[in-house]
Amino acid sequence: MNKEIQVSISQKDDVSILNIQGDVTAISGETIEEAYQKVNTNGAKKILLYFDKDGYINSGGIAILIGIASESRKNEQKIRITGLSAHFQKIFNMVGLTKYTEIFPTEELALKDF
Amino acid sequence: MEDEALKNVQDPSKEEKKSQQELEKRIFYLKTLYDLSLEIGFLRGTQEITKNLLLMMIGNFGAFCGFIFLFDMSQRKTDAFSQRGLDKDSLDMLSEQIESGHWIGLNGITEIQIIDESNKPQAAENLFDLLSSLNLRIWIPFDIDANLRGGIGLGDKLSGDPYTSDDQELLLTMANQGAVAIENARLDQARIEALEQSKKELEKLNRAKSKALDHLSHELRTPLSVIQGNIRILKRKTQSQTPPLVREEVFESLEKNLNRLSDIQQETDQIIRSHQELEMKPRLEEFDQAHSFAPKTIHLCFFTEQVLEDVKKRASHRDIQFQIEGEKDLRLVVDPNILEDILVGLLKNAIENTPDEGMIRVVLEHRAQWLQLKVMDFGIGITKENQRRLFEGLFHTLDTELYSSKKPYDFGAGGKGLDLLRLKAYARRFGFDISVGSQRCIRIPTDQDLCPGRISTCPHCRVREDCLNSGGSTFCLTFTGTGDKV
Repeated sequence: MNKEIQVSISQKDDVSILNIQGDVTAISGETIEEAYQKVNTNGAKKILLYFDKDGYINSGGIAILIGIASESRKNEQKIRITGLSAHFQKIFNMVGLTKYTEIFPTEELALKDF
Repeated sequence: MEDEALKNVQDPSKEEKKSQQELEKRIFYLKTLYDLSLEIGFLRGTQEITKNLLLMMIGNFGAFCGFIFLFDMSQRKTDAFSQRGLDKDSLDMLSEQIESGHWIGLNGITEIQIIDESNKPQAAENLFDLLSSLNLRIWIPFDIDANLRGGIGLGDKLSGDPYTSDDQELLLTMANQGAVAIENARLDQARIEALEQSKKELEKLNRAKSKALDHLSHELRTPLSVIQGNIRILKRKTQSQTPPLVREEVFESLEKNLNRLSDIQQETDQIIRSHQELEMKPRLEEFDQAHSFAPKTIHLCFFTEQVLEDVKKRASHRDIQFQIEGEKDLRLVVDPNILEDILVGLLKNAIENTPDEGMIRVVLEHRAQWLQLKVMDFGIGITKENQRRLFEGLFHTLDTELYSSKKPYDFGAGGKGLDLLRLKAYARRFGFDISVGSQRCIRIPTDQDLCPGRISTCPHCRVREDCLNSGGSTFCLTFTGTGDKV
């Protein structure tokens, strides 16, 4: 049973934080896309994707994240990721998402890296 | 390669790590297959299925970009198209190629194919070049049947790794899974369309049947009136002669039977109107209740007492004991006119099936979120076969041959089933439930066995309780979301 997704946007200095709670799938991933488009329209250049450690991410959700990572490169934005479980850190590494973005164990470390 | 193998042998921890990674990758791939079945298994639109299939493929392999399409060969148009990561120019070029039908050249590529200059197939050289120019790395044929054909193109992996033979096998499995989902969705759609078509035809036939019955009922009215008029004239003329040419009883019998025919005609007319009204009504969920009834909060026990008093007056020629039992302080939100109509119908039915000296009980109960109103009679009961046909309309519990013309509320007066039909119609329209439970009197098990209509004249009953315990019926109305106490 999928956990319903909730995405909230917050700001820390010049970093836009997308707080993602719930499971990320092809369908629910559209909510993340919408949130990304919102911060993109507002001119964000530094974006942190903060995932729920208990959330599940399937291949459809990863495809959505690849799309966001790809677009962020075109828009000259920096994307950092945190909150991922060790399992999904491996998966992101396996599918090559880490070539477009970096994963950090904590929010503080991710913010420091921007 | 050999050097690498040698190094791994020299460093077992590296070999172990590699095996671990490979194992994790395979688990991830298996999980993707499982997730894919969840994502697309319940979807019913080709466009949705293809879009999700493409996303699952891209996410599983970490592909830069990809597209998927299906082309309807007979209609010569695109049935589904979805893409991810292609720039606008590539997209325009691709759409143009698909719409023009040039992609059909890809029929030359019947198997999964790595797009690589070194293995360019001669049969589809131009399209191979097109896919290559779109930065696509692998082509997967995606045919649902001979008419619905297409393909999936995926870009390079973000990881930079090539598509292995294992990857190709997984891609084909995923494509097959997608094709099965689309086939199922199309079969479902065809079934739904066939059912809708059958429903429309049935409705059409039903309307025709209603119209024919309506016409027949109207056609009966005029000759019946003419015969009734002629009999009155004939009666007047013959009675004035001395001695009368025709005996009074003959006219009485003629008039009685004609009146009965006239009553049947009028009730039939009313039933047909009710059916037609039901057919015209939209389905319950579309029903705008605001236009059809005026709900009010009523004190159920007080309301029931009032209705019962009124019914008792109408049945004052009968010797029946009435009781109201249960919770006295319940309230119900309902249109009082409708509830009165329902209650009168149920009480009338109970009275007509209860012999004199018998008893009728009305029970009001509140169970969880339900409120139940039960009308229980201790009368003759209904045979099992008749219980099944109870709400069919034009149904009365007495056999036609045994049916005699009696006044309403008389024992065994029956009716043409109109009240029960109306109850069913109300239940459908106003969202309450109606159920019936009945025990046919053990002394008169079939419709041909007659009840004398008064307990004291029944040869099987020594005391009144013998009758009360021998049979009866309970009609139960269940209302939901109501029942607050006053």
